[in-house]
Parts: sequence; structure tokens; C-alpha cells
Amino acid sequence: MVKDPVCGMEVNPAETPYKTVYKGTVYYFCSKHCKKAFEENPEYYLKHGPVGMPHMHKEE
Amino acid sequence: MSTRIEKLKLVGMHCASCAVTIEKKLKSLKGVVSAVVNFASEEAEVEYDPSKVTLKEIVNAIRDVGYDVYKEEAYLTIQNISSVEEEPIIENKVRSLPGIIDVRASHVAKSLSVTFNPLTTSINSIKELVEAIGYKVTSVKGEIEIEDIESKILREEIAKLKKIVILSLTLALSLAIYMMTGSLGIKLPYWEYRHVIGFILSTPVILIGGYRFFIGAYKALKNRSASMDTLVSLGTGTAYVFSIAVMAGLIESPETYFEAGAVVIAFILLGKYLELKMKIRTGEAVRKLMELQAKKARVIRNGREVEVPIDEVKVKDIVIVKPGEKIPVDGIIVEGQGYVDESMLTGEPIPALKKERDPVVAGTILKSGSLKVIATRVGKETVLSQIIKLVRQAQMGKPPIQRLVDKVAGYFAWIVIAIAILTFSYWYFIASIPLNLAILFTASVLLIACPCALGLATPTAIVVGVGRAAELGIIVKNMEVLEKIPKLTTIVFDKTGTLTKGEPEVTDIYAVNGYKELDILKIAYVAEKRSEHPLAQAIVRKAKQAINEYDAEPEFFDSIPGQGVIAKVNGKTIVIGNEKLMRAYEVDLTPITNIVRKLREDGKTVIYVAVNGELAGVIAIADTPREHAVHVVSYLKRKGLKVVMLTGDNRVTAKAVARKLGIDEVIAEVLPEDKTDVIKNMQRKGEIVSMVGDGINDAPSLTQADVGIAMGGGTDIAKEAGDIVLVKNDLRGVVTALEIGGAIRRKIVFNLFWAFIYNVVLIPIAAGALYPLTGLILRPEFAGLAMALSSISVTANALTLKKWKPPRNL
Repeated sequence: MVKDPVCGMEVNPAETPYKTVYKGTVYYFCSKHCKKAFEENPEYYLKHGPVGMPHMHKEE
Repeated sequence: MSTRIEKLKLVGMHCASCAVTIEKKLKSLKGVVSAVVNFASEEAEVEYDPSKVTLKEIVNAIRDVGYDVYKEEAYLTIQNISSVEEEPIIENKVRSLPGIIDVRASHVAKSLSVTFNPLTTSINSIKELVEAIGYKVTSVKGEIEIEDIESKILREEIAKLKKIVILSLTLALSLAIYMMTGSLGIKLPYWEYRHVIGFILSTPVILIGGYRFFIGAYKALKNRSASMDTLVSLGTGTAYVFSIAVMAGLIESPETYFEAGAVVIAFILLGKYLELKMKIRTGEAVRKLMELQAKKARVIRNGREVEVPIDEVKVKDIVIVKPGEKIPVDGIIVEGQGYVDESMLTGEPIPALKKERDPVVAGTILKSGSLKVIATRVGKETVLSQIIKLVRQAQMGKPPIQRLVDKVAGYFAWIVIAIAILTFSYWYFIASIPLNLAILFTASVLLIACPCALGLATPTAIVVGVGRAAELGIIVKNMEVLEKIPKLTTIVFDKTGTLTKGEPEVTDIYAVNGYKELDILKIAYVAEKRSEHPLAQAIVRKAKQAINEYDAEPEFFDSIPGQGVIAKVNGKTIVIGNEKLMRAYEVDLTPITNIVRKLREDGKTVIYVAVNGELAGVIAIADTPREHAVHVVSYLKRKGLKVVMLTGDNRVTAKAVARKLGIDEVIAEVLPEDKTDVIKNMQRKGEIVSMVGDGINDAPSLTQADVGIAMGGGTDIAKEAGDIVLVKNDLRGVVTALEIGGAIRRKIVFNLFWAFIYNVVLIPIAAGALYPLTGLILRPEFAGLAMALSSISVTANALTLKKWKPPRNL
């Protein structure tokens, strides 16, 4: 299990379809929304650590 | 406010945040008091107010956020449901039970299909409830089984009805002829006793022939509704009772109307009889599919070949198939080869050669050769069973327009009764015509009104149309699309596997930075061999041809959807994928820019291979367009649809492919998870969108689209998303599906239109609207005849869909 860098939740890297690569490292997410948030501003989450689920699963 | 608590088993949860998502969604529903979702047990407990929100809406809400609820289906055959007005009565009663998600009654199929939550209710409670309101449940199936109960019931009913029709017609017609000849002034024996003769000859017709109508009317009355049976009973009853009163000397009248009542019943029964005979034909398509299922199979048990009933064949059994036989199971050939006719399932007329390791499906026929097949799916799991099940479910479906009709039909009989009362009051009390004429007009109004044609218009067209579509390899799963097809503005095709064959091949390899072409293949092979992506498999296939004896296990492997794969082999980081992935590893792509551009302009997909952050080379892969793709695109464009290609592939590559196919609009470089958003955006702009893609991988976008069409070739048809599934792996099916959907819809509208017009025009005439001017009296006999004809014509019109042919100019 690894940590979702956005919401801090435990994610199983073998199962989640939400992944992204940044500067040569693969990051795993619990949801599309966390992934999107990370991709928009990766440095922020890498620096500050997980911030919970600010806009989790809201309806588009 | 009384609330209900429902426990639901959830499907598809993979992380704790899913639980929050579902809870939030449920709580946002009006009428939901509380919702608790347990991630560990995958259960939801919802407390809700059934008067504000239905269980179906709750289940749909869960599905909306991407999960599902475990549910079961039951299929009840109900013998004595005879009219469309009874459908909502049964449906509403059943829906009031806790745990019912969806329910559909059909008087055409004489059945009730129920989707329910097995945690709350059971098939038995549903059955008990249906029986408690006066219906006879003749069979209950956990799922729609391969057994033709319906047509058996229909056939029995037809045989019974035939006798009654013969009896009624003989008596009624002889009476009518006697009365008509007599009233022309010709001298007939016993003419002075004509009222008594009328009574004697008509009474058996009224009692025996009319029995079903009176019972139906009584049942309707008990449920506080009025139906077709009510109208027939009132109409004939009025004429009959009036005539008895005249005969008994209680009322003064120059004539009796015994013959009218009898003739009406005889004609309506004849009409019913012909309608049922036609109804049997409406279900032929499914019956043909059922006949494809072999009843027995030869399997090897304890080393010996034995013949067993099909139910006893298990997965992993070795089944022996001889020439001319139907293949009884889905499976894989383990020995032998032969030509297999798959025309019934796919419409493909030429038998295909099947060899060892090839898959075969149940219901196809071995033309020559001999096969040993290991069963992979048996019974209700086979593709054939899934198709039958889907088609039958679809045939039970109601498009939204029918819901409106159902509502109208519910009031229809009451309106007619009101008109009949007004008619009588006007003529007798205001216009002061003789009582017998007033009775005549009243009876005619009751008898000419035909809720039947309204009730039959949609279901017959759907049963026939959906059946015909199935014969052409098209499964229409959702009737709501019928209403959307004529409104479509845009059709979106997924590229790989839909517009192209989905069999990509490596065409070029370029190496840079001191690597050799063979090195590129070796590196790519090791990294990609664990990937299931079609492009990865193309590389693996190519590598297997080019290199031998080279193998290594990656220490680490991961795939990034829509980008590529990452692997660590012997301490080196290998990255294979598109530009985006290369950027994430800061790989310099400049050495190869020109080559890449040229490859893409040829419509090839370019995959970069990098080792330790340095570019090693590129692999170019091409996928040939499907047969007929060009024609299908141009056909759809001629029809005025905007054709769009959607792909995760590079823009230049996608444009090149689109150009070849004649597609003007391309949306490229879309990640798989974002495809749904693309469709949503189009819909937001007011477009009505059809999406054509793979039923598994493109499932979310197919669901999002107004009309989702899943390209077949899949073996798990029931699991595929989409409103329409193409069984045959042929792109022309898209056109066929849209056209037959349109044809079914037009047929329904046409039928409904005429059924309405018929009533609107003929009811006033029957009421005597033309009498003051022309002296025209529409006698009840003719009113009954006209009504019988209208039902027959609706059914006959629906049957013409059986001969529907796909457009030729493709």
C-alpha cells in the first residue's frame, strides 16, 4: 500500500487505475479527482504533503 | 411520514473513499433520511421515504457515481392478464412491496419481470402478492430460461378460443341473417317468435363467448379500474338486457337487439383469435434463437463417450461435436477442425474454418469435420443464452412514449363510459328519439371504442422489431434509445478497435544514441510482455519473431493508462510510451523529431523507448482501418450526422487516420478516463450524442452517451455497457442499428397515431353525430367489427417489421 499524495489515503498500487508520473516517479491516487489535483500542481502536494480531500468526488 | 429501511449489497467498491462518495450521493437525494455505507461489508443501509423517492432512483443514484447494487431478477408467467390496463395495476401493486427495484408487466407476453433486492424480498413474496390480487401465476423463473412457456400458453389459448369462436360465429351469424332477411319483409317461418329465437340463439354466445369479458370487467372493477372488457360487457350487456325487457313486454320497442350483442361478441372473439395467431409470430425471432440451443451433448465421462442432457454438461467437460450438429456449449477446440456456420448469431453466411485452440460458441453449427471442445461456459452463461435473455428483456421494455399511452389508456375506458352516458342522455332526454335508438347509439359508442389498439401499438412493434434486430445481430437493450435515435446530432467513434481492426502491427523501428534496432525490440519486449495493451502485444508479437532466446524478468513493472509502461530491468529504468510519459522522465526527444513527424503523417502510432532517461529509439505501429469504415462514415454523414473520432492517440496520427476514413472532426490525446467528459461537454452544448466503442473499455462513455453502441466480438454480452450491442464484429451494424431503431420508432408512432385517429373519428359517428343529417346509424355489430379490425391492423402493421432490411447503399 502507498499513500495518495493528495488526500493521504492508502491506495493499492496494483489495483488503482489512477496513476501519474512526475519527474521519474509514479504516484498513485484513490480517484480521478485526486489525480487531477496533483497534475495541476504537483510541487504543492510534494512540498506540503497530503491535505485531505478538499474537493473530493464532487459532481462535475 | 413512514420511512422504510433498505439494505443493499454494493458492487464495485475498491477504496474507502467510494463509501463516502456513495453516502454523499445518497444523502443528496430528496426523500433519503439517512444513508450509511460500510466499506468492509460492501453494504449500504438507506432509510428513505417511499412516497418521495423510489428504490429504483436510489439504485440509479448509486450507479450514477459508478457503482452498482446486487440485484436479482424474477420472471413470472401470468395466465390471466389480458389487457393493457391491467399492466399498471399489477406494476403498482408489486412496486409497493419493499425491495422492488423495477417491475414490468406485459399482457402481450403474459408475464411480469421483476428486479428486486434479494436482501429484502423474495420471489415467493412477489408471487403471493400477485396471486392475492387475483392473478394466476403459472410459472416462476429465477431468470428467463431457455424454455418457451409463453408460446405454449398462447397456443393453448388459441386452441380454446378457436372452439368458442366457431360456436359464437355460427349462432350469431345465423341469427343475424334470419333477422336481416326477416326485416327486409321476406316471409320467414316462426317470424312472430323472432324475439324468443333471438333470445335462444344469442344467450349461449353471450354467456360462453362473453364470459371472458364479464370476468375481465369484474376484475377491473375490483381494482377500481375500467378496461376494454368493461366496455364490451357494458355494450353487449345493454343491448341484451334491453332486448330481454322488450321480449318480456316490460318495454315498448319495435325491435330487439339480441343479434347485435351476439354478433359483436363473435366478431371481437374472432379478432382476438386472429390477433393471438399473429402474436405467436411476433415472438418468432426469439424462438428461432432458442431452437439453436442443443438439447443434448456428447461428453467424455470416465474415458467414455456418453450422451447427457444439456443441463448436465459442466465447465471443463470435453464435448464431442459431429458434422451437422449444433455446438452445445461455448468452449475452445482441443482436437480436430471443421467449418462452423455462425450465421444465426452473426449473420455471416460463410462457414468459418475453426482449428485447435479456436473458440466456438453454443448455437453455431458444425458443417463438416469433427471437434472436441472443452466447455468454458455452459447453460445460461453462454453467449447464446445471454443474447436470448437480453432480447426477451428488451421485448418487455417500454419506451417513454408508452408510459404516456399507459396513462391515457387508464382513463380511456372511463372517458368512453362518460361519452356513452352523455350520448344516451342527449338522445333520450333532449332529442327525445325512441328508447331503442338511444340504446343503439349508446351500445355502439361502448363497442367501437378501442383501447386495445392503443395498448397493442407499442408492444407489438417492439417485440417484432427487437426480434428482427436480433436476427441481424443487433441487441437493443434499452428502449429509451428509440426516442433518441431520431434526434441524434453527433456520432462519436472510438478509434482503436472500432474504426480500426484493433490488430495493430509494428511497421518501423528506429534506433538512436548508439542503440541498434534489435536492442530496441529486446528492451521493449521485456518491459511490455506483462502488459495487456494491444500496442504492447503488437510489440511482443514482433519481438518474438525477431529475437530468440532472450528473456529477463523486470524487477519492477507498472503501466500508466493512456501513457505507457515503466519497468526496471537489470537495474536500468526502461520507459516506453508517449510524449507525455517521456516528459515526466525528462527524456530528450529532439534527435528523432523529423522521423516521428513523418511516421505520424502516415497514420502510424509512435512509441518511444527510453533507457535511464535517454532515448533509445521509436517503434511505429499501424492499425488497418476496418472494412466498410469509409462507407459507414460517409453514410452517416449523408444522414446529416456529425461524425467524430475520439482517441488517446497523438493528434497528427489520428488526423491521418481520420483523413483516410473521411472523418473531419478528431478529438485526440484523450486519456481513457476523460472520454466521458468529452461526451458530457458535447451534451452540454445541446448535442444528442451516440458513442460507438468497446463495451468493456469504453463502458463509462457508452453509458454517458445518449445512445451507446457497443461493438461486439465480446463474449460477455450481458456485461457490456451500451444501449445497443452489436453481436457481429462488423461496423455496418452501427448503421443497421440506428436504422432499425428508427424504423421501430416510426412504426410505434404510426400505430399510435392511427389508433388515436380511429377512436377520435369513429366514436362521434357511433354516438350518432351524423344521424340528424344523414340518418346514419352505426349498428353495434359494425362497431364491434370495426374495433376487431383495428386491433388486427395494428398487429399486422407491426408484423411488417419482420421483413425489415438493412440499407443497401452502404
